[in-house]
Amino acid sequence: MKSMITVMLTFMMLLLGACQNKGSDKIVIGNFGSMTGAEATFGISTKQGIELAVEEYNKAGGLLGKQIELKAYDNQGKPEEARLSVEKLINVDNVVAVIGEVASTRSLAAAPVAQQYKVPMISPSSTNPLVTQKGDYIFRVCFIDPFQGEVMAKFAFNSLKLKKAAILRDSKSDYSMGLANYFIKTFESLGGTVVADEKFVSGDVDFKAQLTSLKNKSPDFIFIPGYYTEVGLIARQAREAGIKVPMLGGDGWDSDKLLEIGGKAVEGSYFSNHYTVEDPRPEVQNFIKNYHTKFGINPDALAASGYDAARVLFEAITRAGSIEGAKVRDALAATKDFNGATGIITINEQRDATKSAVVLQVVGKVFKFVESVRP
Amino acid sequence: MGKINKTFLLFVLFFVGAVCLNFIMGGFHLNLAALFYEKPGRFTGLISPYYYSVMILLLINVILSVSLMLLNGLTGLFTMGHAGFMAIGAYCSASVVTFLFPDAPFVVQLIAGSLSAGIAAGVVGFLIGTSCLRLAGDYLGMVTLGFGEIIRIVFLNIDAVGGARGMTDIPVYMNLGSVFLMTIIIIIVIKRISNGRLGRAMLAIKENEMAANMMGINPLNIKVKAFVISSFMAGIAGSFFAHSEGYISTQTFTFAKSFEVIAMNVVGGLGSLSGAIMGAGILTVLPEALRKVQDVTGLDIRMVIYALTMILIMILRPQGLMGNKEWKWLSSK
Repeated sequence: MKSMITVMLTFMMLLLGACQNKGSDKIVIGNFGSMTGAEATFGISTKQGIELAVEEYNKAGGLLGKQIELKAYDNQGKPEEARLSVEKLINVDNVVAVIGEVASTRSLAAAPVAQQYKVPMISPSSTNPLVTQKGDYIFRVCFIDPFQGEVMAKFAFNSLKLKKAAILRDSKSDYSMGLANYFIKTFESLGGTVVADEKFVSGDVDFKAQLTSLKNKSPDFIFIPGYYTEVGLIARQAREAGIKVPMLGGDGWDSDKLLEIGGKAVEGSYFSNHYTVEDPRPEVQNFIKNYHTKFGINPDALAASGYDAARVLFEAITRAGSIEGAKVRDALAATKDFNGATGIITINEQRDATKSAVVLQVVGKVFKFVESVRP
Repeated sequence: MGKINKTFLLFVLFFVGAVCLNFIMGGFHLNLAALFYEKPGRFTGLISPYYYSVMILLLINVILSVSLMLLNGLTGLFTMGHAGFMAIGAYCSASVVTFLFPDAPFVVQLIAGSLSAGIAAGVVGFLIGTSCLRLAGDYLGMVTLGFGEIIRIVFLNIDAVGGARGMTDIPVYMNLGSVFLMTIIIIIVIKRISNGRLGRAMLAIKENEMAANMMGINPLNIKVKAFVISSFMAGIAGSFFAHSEGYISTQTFTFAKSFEVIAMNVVGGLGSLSGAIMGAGILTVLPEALRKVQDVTGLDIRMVIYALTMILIMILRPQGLMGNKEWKWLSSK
């Protein structure tokens, strides 16, 4: 008897998920991201950016005369959960399109599902080139790693006139490895030399061994394509170890946490990013103002990318005049000169966004705009 | 000897059955979903692909959980590196199938993938088992935790299997029928082991290793056997995982995964086969089922409820849901 009850309970839990929301006259948009776990800020920022876009559109009358509803699922930063949540969004919630993920690994896990059911998927900030190669329904609204690596290499060589690079990359992160590879490629083709290439693993807290080894090679600058947590710690320990050269990085640096963790040590460092809050265009300034009113904090680049991904999608649906997967896909592919918060977005044949990158410098408590690099 | 033959027979049976089931299920999906849905989704089959995926994941977790039960519950070897064996199985099977048999028929892929995964994981299990034999209790846990991470980091640094990006485009040939059949077979095998001489010996070692030794049981021998069998099964689970997901990355096989499997055992009841199955069921289905809560609260609090449930279970039933009892159909005669 008792065993019967346990078996039944297990089955009831399965069925619990099966009660379905009634068919609604809303346009449902899906979002999946890491809203808990080690990269929680990425998922939450992106979701908030999307929420803002949905709210703005709904206030202005919605899409095709219908209100937009956002379904956002957490995947705890696990690839298999990312795939499951996309299956749920597509098959249970019947979403028109999916927005996600930030991390390339989780986008790669989920993309085949979206492709299989021919539901357009827009990644706000997966920069690995492979993501959109998974199928013709997979898009992104950010630039890809090769471009970002190129931007920083050109900036270091041409603008800062530095010739000797040291790399400190995260061997666990595909983003970091890829970015470093493309950086080295461009930097060496420009005529610079890479004097050291050291690795760490995200989650490390002690980088003294790598930094000592870097110091002995006396580089002109250190390129650290990592995420803000490690970068902050590395910067602190580098300054303690007596390394005074500037540090450069990628969009993984973009977080107020970088200043909290790195403190004075990150002062004067440069990194490439998707957008700058100093951009005077009304799209950017309105976005920042509205985001601040709604959430009480300043948006980071991920929030801006999420906002843009949602708006590119809504605009495509409007142009398509339909919520049919194939028509939305065609409209998305035809996106041209879209005025987004992260720049002027044009979707190319590879379904990647071509747009300019900005280089920012850490000055005091803010990230100051240095220069903008067009593709 | 007889037992080995029977086990072998069971595996052969599995492959034959899996081929048939694959054939049958490839064509039609029962329309169970239509019973629960107002409007069916984009799929036309019987089970929504979402529930289908959840069920496959559930069965894979059952395999992991019962194979760990053999080590943790039965032999009393507290190991924390199960995700490592799963990783070996997943990567090995994915590489064998992707690089050697990309276009082979389903049968060949299934046999090559599962066997290579099981054997590779079993061999590593043997190596780790023999090298850690002198350790017991928490120390063994620490060492296996370390080994699990080493395995993961090795794969992280092999570019041929994708490195940090993860391995993509793995042929997806697994279906619910095959996984279900294998799960049943593994449960039967473990049940037979635990009721047989080997299982009794394992239990004796867990209760009192010295007394077991005095009774003529070779603890080293039995422990290595437990390690090999358990890792073989974890390897198969890894293989099934790889070929049902189509994508694997080292992010899946962190020590958090190992702890998840341990949690399944503990929630169900350490040392109980039924408990291991139930624990896997609850810990896999609960997070997915709780996604519904979000529609009501507007906030994603499923992880809070999930954690609270586990805490409550541990407070109310410290011995786990099943304690060391078994369901009737699994209990020894």
